[in-house]
Amino acid sequence: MNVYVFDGTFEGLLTAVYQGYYEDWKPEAIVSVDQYQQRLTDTTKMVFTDQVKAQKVLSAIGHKLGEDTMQMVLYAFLSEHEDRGTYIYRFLRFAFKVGSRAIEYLTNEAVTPMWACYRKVGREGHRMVGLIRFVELESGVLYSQYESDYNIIPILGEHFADRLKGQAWILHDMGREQGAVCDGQTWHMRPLTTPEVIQLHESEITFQQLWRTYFKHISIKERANPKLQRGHMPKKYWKYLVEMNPVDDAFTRKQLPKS
Amino acid sequence: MELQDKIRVLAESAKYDVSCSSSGADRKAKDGMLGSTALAGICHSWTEDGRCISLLKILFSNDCIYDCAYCVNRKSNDFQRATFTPEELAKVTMGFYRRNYIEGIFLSSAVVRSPDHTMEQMIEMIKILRHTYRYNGYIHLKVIPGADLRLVEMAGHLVDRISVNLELPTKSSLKLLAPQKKHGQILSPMRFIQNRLVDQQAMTICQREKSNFVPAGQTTQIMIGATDDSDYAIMRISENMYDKMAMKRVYYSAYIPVVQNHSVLPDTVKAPLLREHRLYQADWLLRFYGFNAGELLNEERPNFDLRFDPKSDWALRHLHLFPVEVNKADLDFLLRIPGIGPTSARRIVKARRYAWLDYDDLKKMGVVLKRAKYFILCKGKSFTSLHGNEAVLRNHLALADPRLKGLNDQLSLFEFYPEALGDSRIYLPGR
Repeated sequence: MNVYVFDGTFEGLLTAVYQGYYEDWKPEAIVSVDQYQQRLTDTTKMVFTDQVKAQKVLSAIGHKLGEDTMQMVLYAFLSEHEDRGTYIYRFLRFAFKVGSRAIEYLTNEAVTPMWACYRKVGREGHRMVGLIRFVELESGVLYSQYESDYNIIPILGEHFADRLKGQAWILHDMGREQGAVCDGQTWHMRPLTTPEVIQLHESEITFQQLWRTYFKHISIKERANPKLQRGHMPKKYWKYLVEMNPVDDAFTRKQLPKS
Repeated sequence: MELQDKIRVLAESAKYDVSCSSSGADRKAKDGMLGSTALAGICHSWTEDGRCISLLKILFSNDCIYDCAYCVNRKSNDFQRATFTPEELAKVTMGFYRRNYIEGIFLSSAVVRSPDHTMEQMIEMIKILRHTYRYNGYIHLKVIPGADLRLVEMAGHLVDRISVNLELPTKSSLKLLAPQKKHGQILSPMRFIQNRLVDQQAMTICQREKSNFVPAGQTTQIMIGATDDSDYAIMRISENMYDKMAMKRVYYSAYIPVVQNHSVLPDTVKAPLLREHRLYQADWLLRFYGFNAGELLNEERPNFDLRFDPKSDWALRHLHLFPVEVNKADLDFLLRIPGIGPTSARRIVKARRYAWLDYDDLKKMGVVLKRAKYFILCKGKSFTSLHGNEAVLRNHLALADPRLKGLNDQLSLFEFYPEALGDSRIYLPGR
């Protein structure tokens, strides 16, 4: 099988798509280097990220296919699915043929995997927009640690840039050791390491306690239904939720260096 | 009293209120202010009872001068009372909001001193939030019946959503259980808000933005199971609320027995949760599926069959209309197929423009076929031999409903629908 291998960045993938159009040696799969496992029958080609080529593909998507398609391509990329490169390439070849309504071909085999990725990423993105918990640091910066299945930093970054306008904040994806950082005006993505000590604002613990109290007492005992609770808010998200962790735990945990 | 204790007491007192939705308003951030609202609403947590927390749902005070029989906060109930100051509640709201615990606040209150006094205090708190803390997030305010309409007007310009609770389905049941609340006192602010919303519709976009009166509309809540009003009566009221009062939502709250041995209230032990669920399903049918109350229930059949969701129940009584070809049925009828909702129906309409759909296509598109398969054809083909066999279909649908699981364990299938006995051996594995 002919495989293009890209460096794992969005621009790298777009470069691969560009080359897939203009080179004679066509790819049957496009795979990110960190997810690629070579098979005996594979012939591979390394793609070197080229900002100009990537930009050309990006603006072609924007002009010819529109916003919705652009978002679908981005979400499919963020899914980190091992076949995302191939999916996006196959989809774009189809979409540039049929035009901006490509995503409506819900049963076309170039389109269905894109929707599947889009729904998964979209669902987790929407969920995490609500489940993010900030702590206020001594400096007044709001800091949040979280883990997610998909790489939803851009979705969260965009949401909180608007929601917390004028406020400095940090979103820290613990699993990927990356994050989004905002100084109150603009935000950008960057690698992050776990701080060993976090200096909390003096009012932080009080607000956390008030929230735990509220959470406990707003529930109706007579209607207890933990299964339903877990259905909406799966256990994998509990680790960073103030209300799901007893008093000091959420903090001592954060203050310990990673074992 | 410590702030911790106030939060505890006033959350306890607010927990029976149903609404927590933060939807209906779409407002980006503004310079110099903190917060935004999302059109679809955002949930931030889920409590142990499985209900979502979107808004900080809390009472301003539970120190009530009224004595409504069904209410925990009634004057004659001997328990702890608390009242916030406007400043302290504003501070807590802001602290929670910045930490992303909540999407906004749903403020309600018992009647302290008088309806007007209570409303004034709540408006004061909202003013601090909006003007001092420069808060731009979601606010839902519950109007105190009997408060001056000028206060309602003032509040309307500060908040996103307003609600006035109907409390009980009919005038007579209100008289029986909440004699101090007058039916007219509940309807007049509702009508007032509706008229203001109609006025606003006639304005230009500029004027509307300036006026900004309850952009997310009004809602109401009805308690069910405390009186013997039928499902039909309740659905008729909801239908009226949607048609005549331009309600965004009617919420239903299963009566949770807070008083025992009362002369009028039922001595139930358990809240009628399944009935509440069926009412919500029917409510959705009114708002998004093009049904009217008369199609679902009537004077002869005034209550829902709890074993089926109202749409399946309707379809079972109209089997001559099914099975229907999904590639041909129009959107209105797709919406009437059990198990197919607005999202699926729209996907089908879109996708079939490009290709005829078969069973696997529907699956790929994420259409759930658990119930729908008994009512549809794809490219003329059917996927079950059960079309038109009402008794057996009833059986299958009832067994497929996870809500009935407990019930099914206790009742054997044959007790459910004895008339299905003859056929059931063929279709049900293990029988």
